[in-house]
Amino acid sequence: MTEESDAPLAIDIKGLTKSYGSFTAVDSLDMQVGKGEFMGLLGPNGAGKSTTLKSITGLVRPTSGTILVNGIDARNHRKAMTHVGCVIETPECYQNFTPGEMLSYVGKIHGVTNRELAIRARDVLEEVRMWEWRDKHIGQFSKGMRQRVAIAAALLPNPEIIILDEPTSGLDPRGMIEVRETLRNLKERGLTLLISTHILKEVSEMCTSMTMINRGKTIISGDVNTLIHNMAQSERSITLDIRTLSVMTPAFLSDVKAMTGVSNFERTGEKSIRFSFFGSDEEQADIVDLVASHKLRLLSMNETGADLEKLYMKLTEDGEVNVR
Amino acid sequence: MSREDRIAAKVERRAAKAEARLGEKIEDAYDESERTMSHDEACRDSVYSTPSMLTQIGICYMTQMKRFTKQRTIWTVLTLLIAIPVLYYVFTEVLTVNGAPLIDPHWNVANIGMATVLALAPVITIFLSTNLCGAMLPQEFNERTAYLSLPLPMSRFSFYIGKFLSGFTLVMGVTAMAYGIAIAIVLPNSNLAYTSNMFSSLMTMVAGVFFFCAFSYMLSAKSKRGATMKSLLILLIGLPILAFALSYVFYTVNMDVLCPITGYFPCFIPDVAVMTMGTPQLSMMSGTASLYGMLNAFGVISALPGFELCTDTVVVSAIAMILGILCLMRGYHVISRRDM
Repeated sequence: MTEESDAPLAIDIKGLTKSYGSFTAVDSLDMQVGKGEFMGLLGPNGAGKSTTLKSITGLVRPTSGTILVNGIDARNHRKAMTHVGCVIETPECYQNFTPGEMLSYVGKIHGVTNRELAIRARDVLEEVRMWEWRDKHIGQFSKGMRQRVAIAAALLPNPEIIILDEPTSGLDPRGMIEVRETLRNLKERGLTLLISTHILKEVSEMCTSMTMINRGKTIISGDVNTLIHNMAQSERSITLDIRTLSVMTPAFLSDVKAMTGVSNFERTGEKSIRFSFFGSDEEQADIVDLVASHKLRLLSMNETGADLEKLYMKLTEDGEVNVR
Repeated sequence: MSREDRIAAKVERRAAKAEARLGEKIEDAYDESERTMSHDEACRDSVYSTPSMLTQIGICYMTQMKRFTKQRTIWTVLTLLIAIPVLYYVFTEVLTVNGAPLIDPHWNVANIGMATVLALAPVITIFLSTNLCGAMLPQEFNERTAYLSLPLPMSRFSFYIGKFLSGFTLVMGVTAMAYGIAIAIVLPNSNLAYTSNMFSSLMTMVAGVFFFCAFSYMLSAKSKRGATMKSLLILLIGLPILAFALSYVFYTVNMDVLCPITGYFPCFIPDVAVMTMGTPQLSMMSGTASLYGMLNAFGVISALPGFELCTDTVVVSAIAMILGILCLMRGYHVISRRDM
């Protein structure tokens, strides 16, 4: 066994199923989040992301399956959620409370000592840029401000695991950037993060791993870069656009078509071509050498490769589940 | 408009009202404050252990009490308490019928006076219990504050019981203060007081309040919009009518032995509590301000065969407590399985 497979899991979900009458929101879902991992949970609307997170945090009772949080059964809610902070589905705080009062309530439930409550409250409010409004009533805040207070409440007890359901929802662009910065800082501190999001950029830039679900089933799961790379390899989804200074000769064109890994060849102009390429990096470098050998003087070679967006669209096309 | 949109719109309207009331605008702008503490000063490595269930119940209790103080609830309660002596003054000094005041303020026995002052107690205790305890849980789910509380490392039982205890405490406190105000009004004008009856009446009323709170709370556990009106109607009208109807049916089918059961229905506890001290003396009618009191004053109860109000305060209180506990258990069963 490798060290990686021996690493303890922060969240271990096996066979999770949640049905509401005849409708199955989550269907035998398996998902593992390792300690220190930053996992993104992706999926279209109605895929079962929120239901999965709610099952972990005790907001819904699973129909079947097991969920272990830090090795503790999630049904033992008090113990399982002891070192977990979460923000699920834009929770509201008590309207007549101030952020300070809200954090006091949350902190006491977590067992934050009175001595440290004021210190921690200040720290987390500063982190989410809400310290200035600590004595104002939450009822006066905008949605984004309330979201930030909720994030502060999740961070207050120094959790080991943080679960966020669309954390940047309702925030303006600056707020989104700052929340992402906060999450990166937490990742660097070795915390385990699980976020569900629609924003693919958040997953590709911040997450180390991802799980994509659709119609309650896991479609794909693993390291983000590895998944994208594998998809690019298998789907031949790299497109090369080549422009040369000189007019391309028929000999050059036939040589390119004959190269390994070239398909869907298209001449887009006298001095430009486009084709799909699924060869290795060495074979791609051979194409550059070919341009030079034909003395065409390479102007540009643009690669539009696979990205998370293409992977997402491919795996959730037509609303069908493409299970891999 | 979807439910989420309606809730969001409601929250936005409240924010706008609050803003207008305070006369200041909170800009959703970021302050530029940097974090002022070092890693160690901010205790970012501290690990905390969850307190006991009892402590968490206490935290939920105190948090809900704090909410009450910030809502209009507390003002409603204070208004009701202040209304007692005001109404007493109006009915004894201002309003008259055929030259006689509505309430004769001269009591030989203080208990009768207290019963008269507390004639509205049946309606008020039910109203207060249903309004406070019938709205707490639906409010948490409707306003989505439960999404913040329920994922915390706290059992739903702590959440459920902590909130119930705060509502019950508030209603019980109001009831006890009402008794205190009644005593303060009546004692200067009377020569005799049976304090054991007063105490028995208060304890019976507390048991009744416990049942009303638990019943409303149980109904609200599954409700989406609140169970205030439903529980109010059931306790004020539905259960009494059921009791009267059952006693009539039992009498008619020659099952007289079952008739006394209907007198033990917990909806009549405030009437039992007040009438333990005596029948309220009002010039227009004598009796409590409840369906039973009004029907009794007009002679309907005496004409109803088989029905007799139970006068054993210990038995009635015990039944109320047991039924209240069963209601709480049922409510917890519902809330523990409720999906968000």
